[in-house]
Amino acid sequence: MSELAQQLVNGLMIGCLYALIAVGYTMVYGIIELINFAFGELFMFGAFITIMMMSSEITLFGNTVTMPGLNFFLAILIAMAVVGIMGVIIERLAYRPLRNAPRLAALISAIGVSILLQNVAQSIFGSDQVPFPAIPLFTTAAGAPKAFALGGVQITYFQVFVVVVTVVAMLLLNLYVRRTRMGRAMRASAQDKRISALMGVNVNKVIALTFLIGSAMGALAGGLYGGVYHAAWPLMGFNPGLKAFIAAVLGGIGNIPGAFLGGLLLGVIEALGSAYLPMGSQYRDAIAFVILILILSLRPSGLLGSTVSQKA
Amino acid sequence: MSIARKKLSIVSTVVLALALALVTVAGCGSSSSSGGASASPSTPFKVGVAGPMTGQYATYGQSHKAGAEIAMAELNAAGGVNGGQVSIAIGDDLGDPQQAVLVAQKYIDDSAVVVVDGHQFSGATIAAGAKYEAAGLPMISPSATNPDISTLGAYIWRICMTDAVQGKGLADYSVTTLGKKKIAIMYDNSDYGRGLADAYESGIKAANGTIVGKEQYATGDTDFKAQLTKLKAAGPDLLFLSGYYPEGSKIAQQARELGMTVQLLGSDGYASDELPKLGKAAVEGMLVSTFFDYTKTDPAVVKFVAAYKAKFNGANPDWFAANSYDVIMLAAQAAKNAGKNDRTAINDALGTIGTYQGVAGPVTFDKNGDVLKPLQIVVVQGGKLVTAPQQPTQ
Amino acid sequence: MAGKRDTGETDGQSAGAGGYRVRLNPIAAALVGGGSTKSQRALLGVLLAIAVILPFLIGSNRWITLMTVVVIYVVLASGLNIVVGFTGLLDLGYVAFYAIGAYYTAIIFNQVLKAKFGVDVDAYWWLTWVNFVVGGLLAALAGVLIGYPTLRVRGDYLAIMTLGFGEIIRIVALNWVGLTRGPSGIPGIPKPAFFGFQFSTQKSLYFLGLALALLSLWTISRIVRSRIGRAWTAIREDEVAAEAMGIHTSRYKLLSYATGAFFAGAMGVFFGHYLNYISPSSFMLMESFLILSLVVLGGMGNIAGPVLGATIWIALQEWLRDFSFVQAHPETRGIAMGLVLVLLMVFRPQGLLGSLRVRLEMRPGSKGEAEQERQVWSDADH
Repeated sequence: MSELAQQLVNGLMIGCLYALIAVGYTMVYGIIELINFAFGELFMFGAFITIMMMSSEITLFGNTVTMPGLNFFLAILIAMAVVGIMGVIIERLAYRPLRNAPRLAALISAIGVSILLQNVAQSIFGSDQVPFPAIPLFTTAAGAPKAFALGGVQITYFQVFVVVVTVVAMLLLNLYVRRTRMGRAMRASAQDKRISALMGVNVNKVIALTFLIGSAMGALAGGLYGGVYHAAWPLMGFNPGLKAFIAAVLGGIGNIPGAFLGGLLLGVIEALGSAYLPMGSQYRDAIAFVILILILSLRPSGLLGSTVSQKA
Repeated sequence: MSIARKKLSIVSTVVLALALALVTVAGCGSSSSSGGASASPSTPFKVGVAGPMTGQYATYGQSHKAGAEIAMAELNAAGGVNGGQVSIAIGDDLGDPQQAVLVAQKYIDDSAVVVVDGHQFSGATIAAGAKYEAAGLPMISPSATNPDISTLGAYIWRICMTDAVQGKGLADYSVTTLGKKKIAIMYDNSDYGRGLADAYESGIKAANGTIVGKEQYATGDTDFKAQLTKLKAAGPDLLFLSGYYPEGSKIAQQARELGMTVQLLGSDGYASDELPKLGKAAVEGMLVSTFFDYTKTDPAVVKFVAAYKAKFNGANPDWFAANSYDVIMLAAQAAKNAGKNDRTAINDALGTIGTYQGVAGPVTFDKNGDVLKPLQIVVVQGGKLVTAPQQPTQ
Repeated sequence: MAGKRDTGETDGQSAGAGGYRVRLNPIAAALVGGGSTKSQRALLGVLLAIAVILPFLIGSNRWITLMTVVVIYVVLASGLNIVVGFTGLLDLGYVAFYAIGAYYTAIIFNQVLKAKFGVDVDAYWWLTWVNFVVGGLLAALAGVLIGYPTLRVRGDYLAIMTLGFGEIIRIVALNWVGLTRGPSGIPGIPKPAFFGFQFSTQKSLYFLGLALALLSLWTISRIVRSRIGRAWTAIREDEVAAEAMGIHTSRYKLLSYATGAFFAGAMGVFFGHYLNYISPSSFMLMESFLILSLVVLGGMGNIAGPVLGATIWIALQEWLRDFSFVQAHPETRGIAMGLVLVLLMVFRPQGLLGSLRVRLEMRPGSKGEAEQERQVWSDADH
């Protein structure tokens, strides 16, 4: 029984990470309807910059460079800021010119940005995995993660931290989008850019801000992910980016609580499917996709998605 | 015609012409470099290095390249091979069979390339190997373990052990030497990981051990708690990990996070300083099989390690680098035996080279161009890999 | 509103309904609009001549191999073009059909004939040719099966479902070791032979591939100009309207998947016999994205687009390999390719050979109206 409980906890933990990534992803997605392939790379840079800020020295372009060696919390905030700005720049250069172009052009541009960033990261940080420095608050003197047992289930303090951050982030973001003026502007732009513009919304600014916040969320997810798995590497963003996309679609495009739910669901399905289905660990990803296809067949607009008639 | 349309048609015509010109010019440019292979003693000794230099396997390709660079520097410092300067070309195959074939064709066409150090991944090796065999360019793989490579042909060699042999050796080591009875296996679903795990499993059963669980993961996975939770419930006294160190370091960390204290045994894909660097406290005490132990005091090993550390910021070489180095040094020796830097001569000399003492163990080719090497075990101690107290009986 | 590619307009210009001018550049018109004028036929002839003569001029196996790879991707991109470009269905799992064809022929030759029956595969040379069709049909069947659940779904939801299917097939291929030998792949697929003639040289394989490609392109252009093609275009432009006009959208969508899949499957069979070895690593998700990029890069919705896209991308990738700077820093090749993709999209979003007509589907109206909108947005700044 404790095995099942442990598996559930495992699944929820992965699910939280997916949820955090998906929330940032769906924000952007909702407004400009772009499958942001480069989101995984922003996530990856978030992890790397966190590591950079936390280390006392790091190897960049093959040369050792001294680094500030800040604490984790400050490092991740800096990473969020830097990656947020990166996101805005990318939007300005690679996506904004294509806003009036066929949707696929922006998609391919995003693929190009993704390839570009992956290789740039390999240039800067090398191809080896870079270890994530231990966070003193969450690590014992012996170097092991601080953990506790709850009814036979092993949980680390850092995992709890991740869950808390994810929930808080989701709530804050939702609040922002639902209650503030800017949030209203975002929702309006998501619904109809032209009319919003006519109503006095500065759509360009809204989109830039969305990218800023969404990318910062991605970086937050990246930093936490790096902390959970103790490493960062140039291609670490591909799978999480894909999972974010799946979770976002599962929950309903543009829907923040939906993305959160989608992420959690995806994580739990993966863990339980892997553990309890025959040959589960082998077909784990396939199981997740099958569930996805089933859910979309029954609810074509996602779990919490509104059945807004899409352009045919 | 409107101006816009004229522009459009001009642009497209130009682009199309450019595309075709690109292919033509590049083709003509390359074909001018192909000529007969000359047999004069001052012919350069050019090695085609092939492996994944970018993409998800880049870290192994970079090690491979590093080892090759050390070999090149050492040979040139000693005056080259048969009087010819040693140089290496880098072919990025991304671990993909299709790309590997393109790299292979490039090397085949380049008459200066006399031997290929690569490819690293089995799929790439099989696809490219067929080309090298047909063209008569000797290829020595440092790391491809698929059994089908044995029968690719007379020009295809490798200096890594096949999974069958390593698996059996490790199984005997686990049961007989270490005295473990209940074994769990976690393997990477790659050619190597799966093949080795299967060989290990049969070996365990043959040695009267019990397999209490066998779980799979995919290369590039980061979360293994689902599989580990299952294995933990089975209560093993040894967990055998068949795969590579990036996943392995995380598996070890997550096992410890789940409260598992079981002894870990890793396959040779774990034999790298990256393992303790990434795994930190979680991998202390982990046993790893290897064909290259950088703490050995053999003069050749010491020299290689010193050269590597000098060039790469004090880092210790892993077995990818060591094997790559051995391939080139071996090929150089064959060329010296043959007296000339020529593809066929080198290939013939490889067949009669006897036993070559490499830094990663002695190389004796069997009739298929495969080798048999003694297994060594290292243990992670204080963040380094040191020779383990218990070694397998050879 | 549907394009008038099929009526063979003499100079590639035509007027659509509502007075919109649909302009096609002459190269696209030549390859799409049919050979109704001498100049168009001449252009086609020239391109064909280049494709045929080039291998004899170059002589180096490396570039002939490259041209073979280009030819494979030309067909793959053209097949995907049917689904994405002509019918407007965003398929992100296309590589699965390619895999089905490749695995089918590999399994038949290696697992069944050689392993199970112990037969000499060379005696069964004729099976290769049969497999082109059967492999294609098998993939087409998969296309229908995959397409069916997606009928109710739109846009990115559809994309995700197709992506999921593509991945499921790859994961099955990777794990069903009994059938596909899992990650080890299937070696020993014989080279094609025809009544004693062995396609053993690179050149012969290239010409075989070229012949298949020409056949495929010709077939595709014929289908696209027929009623079926018009139905597809109608579905892409406005599905609801198409349904209202009496087009059974479900049927045509499934046909679109099936047709696109057929060519991928057939090319998969060719791939197997050309490389003589199949492994799951050739069918990763990134490959689907790459083929999609080729389609968009070249220009969707017309026949020549994927041809150009595939040629430029693959030639560029290989050309970059030789620079010593790239050899020392292999990542720069990836950086360059990524930049090329972004720049090409930003400066030519309709693709290299894409006609302005493609813009019509996103913004009803001329370029002027899009300009006006941009004005409106920046006016809101104040």
